[in-house]
Amino acid sequence: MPVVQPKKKPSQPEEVRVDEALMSPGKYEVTEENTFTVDVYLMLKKKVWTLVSGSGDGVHHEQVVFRLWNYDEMVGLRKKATTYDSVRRMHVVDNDALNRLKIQKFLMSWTFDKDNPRLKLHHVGGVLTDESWTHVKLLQPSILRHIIDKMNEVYERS
Amino acid sequence: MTVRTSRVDGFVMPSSDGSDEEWATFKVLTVGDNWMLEDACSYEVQVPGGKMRREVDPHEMRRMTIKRCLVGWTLDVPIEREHGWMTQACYARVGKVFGSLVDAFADQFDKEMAVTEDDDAIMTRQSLVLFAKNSKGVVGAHEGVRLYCNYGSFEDKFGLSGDELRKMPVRDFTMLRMMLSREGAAQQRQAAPKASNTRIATGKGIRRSRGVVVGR
Repeated sequence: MPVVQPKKKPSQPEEVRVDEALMSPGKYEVTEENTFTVDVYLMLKKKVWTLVSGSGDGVHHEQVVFRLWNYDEMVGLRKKATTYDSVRRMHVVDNDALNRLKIQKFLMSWTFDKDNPRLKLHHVGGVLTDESWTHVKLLQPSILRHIIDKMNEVYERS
Repeated sequence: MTVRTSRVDGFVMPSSDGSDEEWATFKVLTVGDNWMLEDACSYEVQVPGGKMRREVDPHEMRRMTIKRCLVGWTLDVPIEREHGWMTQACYARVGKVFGSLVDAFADQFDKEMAVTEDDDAIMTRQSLVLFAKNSKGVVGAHEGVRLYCNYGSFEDKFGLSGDELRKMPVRDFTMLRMMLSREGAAQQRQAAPKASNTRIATGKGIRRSRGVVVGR
């Protein structure tokens, strides 16, 4: 006896809100294109790279590009960098850990790799690879401190 | 709440000396809201002695406060609310707004809701006058002192139902609690010295010590 098979229903596309589909991101919404650049001016003095305030003779201009963070990412990273101090009975934000997370997630590119492709930054799943993070860590502390300070001038602006 | 902004690299950022201005409207955070949010954002931590203690995650609390209290703003992300909360679809877009900008609004809101150290100092000073013997009241009473006196006389000192308490702004509630502790401290100071617990055995039985030391 022939069996009548039920008709296969066409798969329903995921409901997309019409208003959202039509709207482009607002001018306040962060997208992949929203980046800012940290300028680093360096001069070689007695075989040591020294930070200088601006361009000039013998000054190397390097640029480090970061992506802006959105509110959700900001809360997520802050939560990851927060621990509970059971002795003082309060939450403590580990700023070093927070800075590391910011760099790992939002450092997009830099010009340190223009003469040395080994220093090219790579990302996996939107996060710096371990090798790239190692390159960041190997930067001279004063240069890295400068980059972190300038980065936080944008991220911690509120 | 108003936040001054300026354009940096083509993006709007909070800036104390910015030329532009953005504003947001928040609903008042009531005691009921606060309890509900604390309940939702708390988790258990281990404290010395191996005991467990419930603590509130401050970051999640801040995010939930925005979901609960942000009613509208001038940013081009429309705020949609349902049953007293920001809708999920709306938050999905609010969460994409530049973090520091939303944080700046949250900071302003926190400042508005918090009882500052200045408030605390004024209340401490005025409570010394208010609860002193033969006090005739306080001139230019602080908001907290006024609240305390009003609620105290109208409701026979906080005879408020739970429902009324839930509707009270959390800042008012905090100030009332602070005033209560001041009153307690004042009463302790004024209380007569306790009778001595030392008992003296006499030939006729036992009596309380009069606190007189002989032979020193």
